[in-house]
Amino acid sequence: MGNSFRCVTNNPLLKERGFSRLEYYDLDVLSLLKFVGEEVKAGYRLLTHPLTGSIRPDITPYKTILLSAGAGAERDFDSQSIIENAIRYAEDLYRLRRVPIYKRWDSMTKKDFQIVDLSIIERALEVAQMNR
Amino acid sequence: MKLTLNKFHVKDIQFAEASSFENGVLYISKKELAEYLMEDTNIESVDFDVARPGESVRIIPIKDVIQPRYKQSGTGQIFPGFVGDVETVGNGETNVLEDCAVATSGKIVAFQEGIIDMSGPGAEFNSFSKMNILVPLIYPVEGLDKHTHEATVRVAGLKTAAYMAKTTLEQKPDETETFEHETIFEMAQKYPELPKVVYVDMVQCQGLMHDTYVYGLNVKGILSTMIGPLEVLDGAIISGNCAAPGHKNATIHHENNPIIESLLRRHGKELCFVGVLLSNESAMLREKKRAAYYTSNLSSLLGVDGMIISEEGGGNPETDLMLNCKFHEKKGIKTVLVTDEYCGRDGASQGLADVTPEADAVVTNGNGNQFVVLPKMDKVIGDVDTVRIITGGNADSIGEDGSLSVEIAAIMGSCCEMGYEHMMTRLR
Repeated sequence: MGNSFRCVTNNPLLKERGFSRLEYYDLDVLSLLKFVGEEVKAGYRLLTHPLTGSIRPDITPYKTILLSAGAGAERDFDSQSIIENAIRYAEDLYRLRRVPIYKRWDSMTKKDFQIVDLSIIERALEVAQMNR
Repeated sequence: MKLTLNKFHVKDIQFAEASSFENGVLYISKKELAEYLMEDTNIESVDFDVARPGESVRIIPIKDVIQPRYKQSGTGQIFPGFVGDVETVGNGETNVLEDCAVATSGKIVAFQEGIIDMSGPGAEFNSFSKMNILVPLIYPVEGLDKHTHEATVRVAGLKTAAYMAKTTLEQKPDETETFEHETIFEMAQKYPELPKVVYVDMVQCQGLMHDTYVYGLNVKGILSTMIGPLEVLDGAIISGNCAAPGHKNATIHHENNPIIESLLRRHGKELCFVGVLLSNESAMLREKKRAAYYTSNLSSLLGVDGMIISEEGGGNPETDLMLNCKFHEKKGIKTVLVTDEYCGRDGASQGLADVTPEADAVVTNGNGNQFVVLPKMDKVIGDVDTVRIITGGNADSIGEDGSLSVEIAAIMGSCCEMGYEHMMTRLR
């Protein structure tokens, strides 16, 4: 499908969905948030919240974030504030344990996390589509 | 509008040939209830178990907790859109089983479901441990997709709760409580001097295991809307949310929403409780802004002086919470926020993923990162191995002695963001 947004993810399930501007990164969620933080500094706006789904960033191994297709000339203050808070929140939770929880899942559980992350992003797109 | 809750205290649940309620004991016919639930052809088989207060019993994994209710009179039927038709509820009389709950169990996805311990230190973290709990164990037909599986378990729980309370029809309750709520014009005339307060109930709608239903409608994509407080008490809001058990709003929390009940009890005395606004929690930032702006529009139209808002879940919903706070305060409406926190084991980290300077009156319901060791129980209803894969648990959660080391986020309702439990944080 042709998208008017960037789809930044570490969820391999997204690769099967045919997003035209899918950017898959083999990173953990905190590193992915930091990457998105740099993109926001470069002028891209967050379209989805970086902590979707009420699943803590130290628990889910997967996260998908939608960014604006183009970078604005100026940084978006709201996006910057939200991503900075999300990074701080995730850093605090990653520090809870020597080995964060997300590294401990078996393959079946990982698959379930992928399905829920996909469901959340599909819902976000469904609602956005309803409003066109 | 007037709604009377006919309260029947349940001393025990026992299985029997026929279902009935006699002298405080709820007798359940497994066969009849199973036949009722298996009208849903997505269910392959169903079994039931009972957990009682003080027993050495652990229930895990739990999806939803529901208080059994059934309408004795008035329009509509409990859980409209699921058990009842979509007709208006919130009037007449509703029979309520107190000290009693349904806890639905069954694996849908491999995480995000909670624990209830009926005794020991875990029992201190929620009220459910003091209730007689019927647990339907629902096994779906093979190959059922996860969305349908979730809906199947959700509806089976609601039907079980209605079935249980139906046994009390035409019986004399142990006690009654009546709530009244007028139209806005009537209350404006009756209480012109009292501060006008609205309650904003944030409801999650982000996809699989993250949804809420009002009169059977998924709240995804809705504009913020208004609902009568008595309708909420009559089961108009249903949880399809299996997010972090410590702070998800289960159906029992909606049925007994303590903010709504407290505001109703104080209505016409200390304040004028104008009504309930529903503000949904979407994943898209634009939707979050729209919901918060529109909720604040409704508050302005209602002309309220103050607003109390409760959150559901954590992380991204804190942005909804703070946007609602900011937009209301900008319109001159004072706000009080009700939430919980993840602030590390020592409580030293900032516990919210988003904040705003206008949020200067915040009530917290505990720290989900608080660590607790739950001793082994004699009996497990469900599957104890799932503790390894639920929120707040991890691969090392089960000790050699069978004890569980978890964060209280794993315990159902421990940090309920409506204030249903008694956790609090003390400032030092």
